[in-house]
Amino acid sequence: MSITENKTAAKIIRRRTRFEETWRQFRKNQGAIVGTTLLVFLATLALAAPLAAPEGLDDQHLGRRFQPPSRENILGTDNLGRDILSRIIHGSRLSLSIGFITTSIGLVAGGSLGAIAGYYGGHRDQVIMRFMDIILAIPGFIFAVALVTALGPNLLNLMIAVGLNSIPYFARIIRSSVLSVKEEEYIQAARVIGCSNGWIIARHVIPNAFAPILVQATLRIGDTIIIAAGLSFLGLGAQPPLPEWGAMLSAGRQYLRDAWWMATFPGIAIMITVLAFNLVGDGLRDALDPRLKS
Amino acid sequence: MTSFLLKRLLALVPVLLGASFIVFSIMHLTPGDPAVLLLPQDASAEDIAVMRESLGLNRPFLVQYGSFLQGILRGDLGTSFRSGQPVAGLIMSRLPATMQLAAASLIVAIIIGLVAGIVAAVRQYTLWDGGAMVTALLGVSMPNFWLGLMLILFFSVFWAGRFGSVLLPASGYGTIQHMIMPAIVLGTAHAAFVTRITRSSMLEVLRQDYIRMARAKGLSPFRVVAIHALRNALLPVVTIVGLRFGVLLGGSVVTERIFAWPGIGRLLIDAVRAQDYAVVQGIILTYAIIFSLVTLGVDLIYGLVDPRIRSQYR
Amino acid sequence: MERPLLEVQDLHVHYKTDDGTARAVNGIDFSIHRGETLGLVGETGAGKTTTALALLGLVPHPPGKITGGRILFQGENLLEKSGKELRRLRGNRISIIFQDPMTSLNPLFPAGKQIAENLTLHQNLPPREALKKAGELLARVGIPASRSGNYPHEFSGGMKQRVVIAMALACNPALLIADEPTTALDVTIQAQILEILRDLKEDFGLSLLMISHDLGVVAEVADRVAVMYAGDIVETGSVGQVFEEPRHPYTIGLLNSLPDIDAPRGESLQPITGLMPDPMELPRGCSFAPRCPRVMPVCEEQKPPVFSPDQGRGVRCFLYHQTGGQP
Ligand SMILES: Nc1ncnc2c1ncn2[C@@H]1O[C@H](COP(=O)(O)OP(=O)(O)OP(=O)(O)O)[C@@H](O)[C@H]1O
Ligand code: SF4
Ligand SMILES: [Mg+2]
Repeated sequence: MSITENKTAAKIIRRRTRFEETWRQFRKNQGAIVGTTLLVFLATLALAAPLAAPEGLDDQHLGRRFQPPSRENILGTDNLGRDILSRIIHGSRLSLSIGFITTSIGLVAGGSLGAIAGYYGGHRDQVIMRFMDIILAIPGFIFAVALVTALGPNLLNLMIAVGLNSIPYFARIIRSSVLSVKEEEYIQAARVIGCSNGWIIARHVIPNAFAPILVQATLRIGDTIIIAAGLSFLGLGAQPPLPEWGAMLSAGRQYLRDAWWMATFPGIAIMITVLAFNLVGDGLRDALDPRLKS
Repeated sequence: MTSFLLKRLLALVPVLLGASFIVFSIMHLTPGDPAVLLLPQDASAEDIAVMRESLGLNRPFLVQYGSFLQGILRGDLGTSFRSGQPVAGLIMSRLPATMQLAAASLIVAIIIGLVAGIVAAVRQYTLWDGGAMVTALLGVSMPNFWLGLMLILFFSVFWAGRFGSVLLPASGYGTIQHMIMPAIVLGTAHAAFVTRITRSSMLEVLRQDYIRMARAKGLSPFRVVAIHALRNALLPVVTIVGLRFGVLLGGSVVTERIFAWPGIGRLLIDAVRAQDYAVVQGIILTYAIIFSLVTLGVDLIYGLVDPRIRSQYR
Repeated sequence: MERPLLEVQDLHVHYKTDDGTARAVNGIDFSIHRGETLGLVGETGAGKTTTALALLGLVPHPPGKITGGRILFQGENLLEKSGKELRRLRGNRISIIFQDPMTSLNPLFPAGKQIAENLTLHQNLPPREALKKAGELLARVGIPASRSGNYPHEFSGGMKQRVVIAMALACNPALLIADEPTTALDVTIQAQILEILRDLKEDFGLSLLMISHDLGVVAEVADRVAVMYAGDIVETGSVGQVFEEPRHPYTIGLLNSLPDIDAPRGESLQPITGLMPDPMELPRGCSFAPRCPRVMPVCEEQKPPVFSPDQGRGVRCFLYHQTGGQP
């Protein structure tokens, strides 16, 4: 007695593949385009640092200490007469690597734990997730402080600490993604035809959890860059003379009254980098999350 | 409600136990011998051995952890290797400053974030929206320690140079003026997050049928937003505020250091530098307890906001 | 003849999106008299909800906009009224029930309070009295007044729809718009809700605009019917006229596609082939032309005006051009 039969049919207009659709949405987002451009620029700068930077990362000229920004040294010089712009450019390698490496540690370790917990359920799930709860009960930055204290303050330990920090974060995201795709029919079908668990996880579950992971990983890179810089700022990460931006800021702090540029510019560099990751992450999320499409 | 509260408090026990174990283990792994630190530089090997014995450092790891736990139950977090004072006392004397700072920045951040987020959602795609979103994006991308230095540069250094005296003190504790810069530094990222989440949650709610219904009842736009939409939009905001409280605590460590704020964050960094592990582990545990209690508080707020959740609490 | 309660004249509503402009409503005319029930039928996307929202001034803007026409309610053009004047009418003189009762109630407020809100707003009742009256209204729709303090999640779907009905009727409206009030409910509950609506309509002396894609529902409750297709009203007439003797090829196709209880077994259904056109790309001529079995060359060139083959009937189709009518 009704004409609902036509209901579904009316909606089959202009189907695009998921990738095309995502790309189309992403491209429409001005912020995302700005972010992508910034990221490409920063990555190029980091790769080409020795060429791009006007001076070497440790070229000291004690005769020109504390020079304010000028034509020769666009962002000024520091307490050892080093060109700040050059150090920032060299430092971009560190910050970007820290962001990628720490996020990868968290993603791989946390992702595996989350996938196991979500896919197998039962007490594997219980044990893993309770452990994650415990770690999450300690505020992340403070947990990293504890780890660096124990391991010793240097760049490598900084990355380990921040990376470990990201584990519960990714474990939770991936677990819930896995839970949501696990019951889908094609996964059940794969089980029925006897595919191994590892194969199913690698072939079906992970690709389907890809969207939220990509978004969160992008946003997380920005966060880890700030956390790492913060630890370095406290003297708990990269140590001088490494041109890590947080460490440069920390050094600049001592001369705040006389050489404002020493602290100002490394901070701006951090902000631009994190901003780029946030813009891209937001853009990806809006493009991938159909709920947010109006 | 009371039984729910009790249940949730009990559920915290294993989590905090686990956290204490992890913290204790990490500190145990740490290089450096407390006994050496406690003695004068020229102490002999025997002196050190005696000291180790008296500190109980020769006992098996688990036994040491056990007595650490026993201590906690008595409110004893051990003794500072450096100052010889009880760790619990040190923490308690510094805790109020940290809580004041956290509370002040949290409250201001929530108010600013809610207002900005609501305006942005209600005026979607206008200049208000764009302005709020760009500001919020800068806010979440900005390292707070940098913001702190920039504020000092402006309100203290620049101002003093220009007008002869500082507008806001660059460090210290005691007056409202002392509080302003640290609270801004700690609250900015939080306000930015609250703005963003409020906006998106509000936009989601404004699409709902019951909002259309509220309009169809003839309610004014203000009442539709203030009465029908806001409360519904609040849950994700509460969640974010709770989750990010951990980040806020982390940020307070840096903030306290920049402004010489006499809280447990500064105490933590001092202890880390002095390798005063008893203090470090006590403080980390304190942070974990505060954070867990806040998370519990967030769950209770859910119940206040949403009758569906409240009915599960019984 | 008495002036109708509601007259809609040449109403146009467009949605402007990134992908183009959807012409959701394209110059429709209809009227509803006091105490009358008009059934508005059409398949999904025909523009029924958009029409209902336009009557209340609630078309979401952006992307939607009323681009032309008049909506005369008690002789006054609603499209010329200020926001404030419209708000005084909404929920008071004109009420609406939406399709999905599950989502029409605010989950955070007790049912009684949500009904009382209309009364405090439009009748200036003090809160306590408003709540008391809300309880009485609940009783009218078959929910014990004692449940007035319950939250929406404590009611079943059918009960929620009753609460919504009580809310809509709180201020004694002159016109009630029911946008597919039973679609989301299961069959037995559907019948109950229709029953309640019919009773209350009598008691309150309402005019009712009953929107549905269910021809059965419309046949049961309506006095007159308007058939909507791709933003046009293609046929209007009394229930008897439209259901017994449909004129427009779309209406004919629609009725033929229904399982007929009297028809001999084995006689197959004849659904209309094809889809309703995308409202962003409406044909130049008759919007039904691409699917019409009786399409003529003129149909693809011009949009047919409304012809009136019988007394009280309007058909937007060139087949009836000899019968005269208003262009
Ligand atoms: N907010 C909107 N933005 C853009 N297009 C819209 C919007 N709302 C409706 N439309 C379009 O307007 C047309 C009419 O929609 P409407 O909701 O009025 O149809 P309907 O007859 O009520 O259908 P249903 O039976 O599905 O409720 C559809 O093509 C729809 O896609
Ligand atoms: S106008 Fe032409 S195409 Fe349209 S319904 Fe009538 S006969 Fe069919
Ligand atoms: Mg509809």
